[in-house]
Amino acid sequence: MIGIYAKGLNPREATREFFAELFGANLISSALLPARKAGLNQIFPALLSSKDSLDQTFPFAPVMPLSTAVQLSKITRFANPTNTVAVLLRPCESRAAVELVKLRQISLDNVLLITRDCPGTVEPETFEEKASDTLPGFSDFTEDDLRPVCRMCSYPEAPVADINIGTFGADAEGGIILEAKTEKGAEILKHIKLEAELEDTSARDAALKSETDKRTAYADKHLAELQKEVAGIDNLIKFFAKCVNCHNCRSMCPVCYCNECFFDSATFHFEGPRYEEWAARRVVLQMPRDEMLFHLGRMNHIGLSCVGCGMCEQACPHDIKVGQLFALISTIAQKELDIHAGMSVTDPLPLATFREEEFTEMGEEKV
Amino acid sequence: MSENFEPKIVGFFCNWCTAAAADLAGTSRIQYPANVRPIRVMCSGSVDASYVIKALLEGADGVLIGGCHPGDCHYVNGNYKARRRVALLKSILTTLDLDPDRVWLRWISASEGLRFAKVIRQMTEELSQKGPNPMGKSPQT
Repeated sequence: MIGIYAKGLNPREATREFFAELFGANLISSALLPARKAGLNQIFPALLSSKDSLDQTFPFAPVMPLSTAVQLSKITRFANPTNTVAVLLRPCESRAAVELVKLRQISLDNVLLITRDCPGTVEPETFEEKASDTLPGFSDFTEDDLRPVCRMCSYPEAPVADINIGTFGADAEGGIILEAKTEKGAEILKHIKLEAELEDTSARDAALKSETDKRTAYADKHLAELQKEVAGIDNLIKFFAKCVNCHNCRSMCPVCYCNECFFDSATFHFEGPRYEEWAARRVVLQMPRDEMLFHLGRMNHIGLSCVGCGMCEQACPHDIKVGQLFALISTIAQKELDIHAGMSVTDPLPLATFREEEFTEMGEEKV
Repeated sequence: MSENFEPKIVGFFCNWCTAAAADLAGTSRIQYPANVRPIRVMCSGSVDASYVIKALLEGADGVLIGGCHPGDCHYVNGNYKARRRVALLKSILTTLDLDPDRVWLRWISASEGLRFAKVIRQMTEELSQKGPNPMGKSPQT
């Protein structure tokens, strides 16, 4: 089912209206939505228990201080909510949520997964500086303000949702396009007043395609340049030269879910004489140790689950383009291994499973 | 590359096959180059990519992971999981231009002492051709 909702309202107002109706009809008991924090120009997810504070929500604010998927994990990991919680996610958050479901860190029971089209996000600093007081949303920003990972993201629409809120292919004041993508979603939409069923989706399809094409072209060009920049160990060292091994990138990564990270473990606690020994062998022992191991190791641990949200890069205190590098290695690896992150909650875990008939040449004489 | 460069190979050998094959090669007095530093692991599937990367960053010229032939894993399917992990590791190393051919995965069963010796010979030879691993040279890594 797909149809226009709240014609005459802009996407923000239309989405607020939609959630008001969901609350009003008792279809949901709470909603996790991007909302203004303490009256400031900061938008964080907040769990609303009634429709009364919907005027504080900014569903299309182009900023992502953290991935809402992780917050959804906190709400559902130990025990699911008793009543239905609706959660509004952008495509990369939905894909991260799918990965966390696969990793058993999110349970979608009693969760209504609502996604919305995403034209991209800007850094929180840019947002705070440039967003006007009324937070009109996207129009304050130009394409150059967008984070590079957003400009190369090939998912303007989330692949997994109960209901998607579409803006691509809708007029600015033409309401939103609601689409049920599961039976659960369709059941909900039955109770919602749609203006009209959208029989002809060609305008939306074309808008999505042109957006995807634009981003793919940007990604191809940009990632090819990046690959040259990091080619070989010397260039990779240069790329990570400012890394202080703080592990912020890991902390903010939605799919890096381990409670105790291998790279924080006692494996890396060494005694003084070991350091002396290494220094003697290398003449100069650069400190801190093991940041290159950390990055290369993490690429292997989560490369097949990486959804390209770039939270790692946003968290880096030294502006290392780590998110773009992860986009590079994960795009290639996911294509080569034919494992695609965030596409289905029933997909098996990439590194805990196998297919008998894959890489059969490996382990034999050559390769 | 210097004339007398001797490559260092770090070997992660499955307890149930390759480690036994190494023993067999020894007790059968089969000659093979002494370039390999064997580490016995309980399964090739227990070898995390970070172990391999650590070895390469610390100066190993090559890493050999030895596991049971497909279908023969003592733990049913650990070797298949190892295979997928090595495929991922090689994909990443290739993308970063870090020479994936320094990482070898070989199926060597407990009875294949000869094959074990042959693999070590081959690997030593190829790594000698390649010269020292640039990943292990820098104080930065």
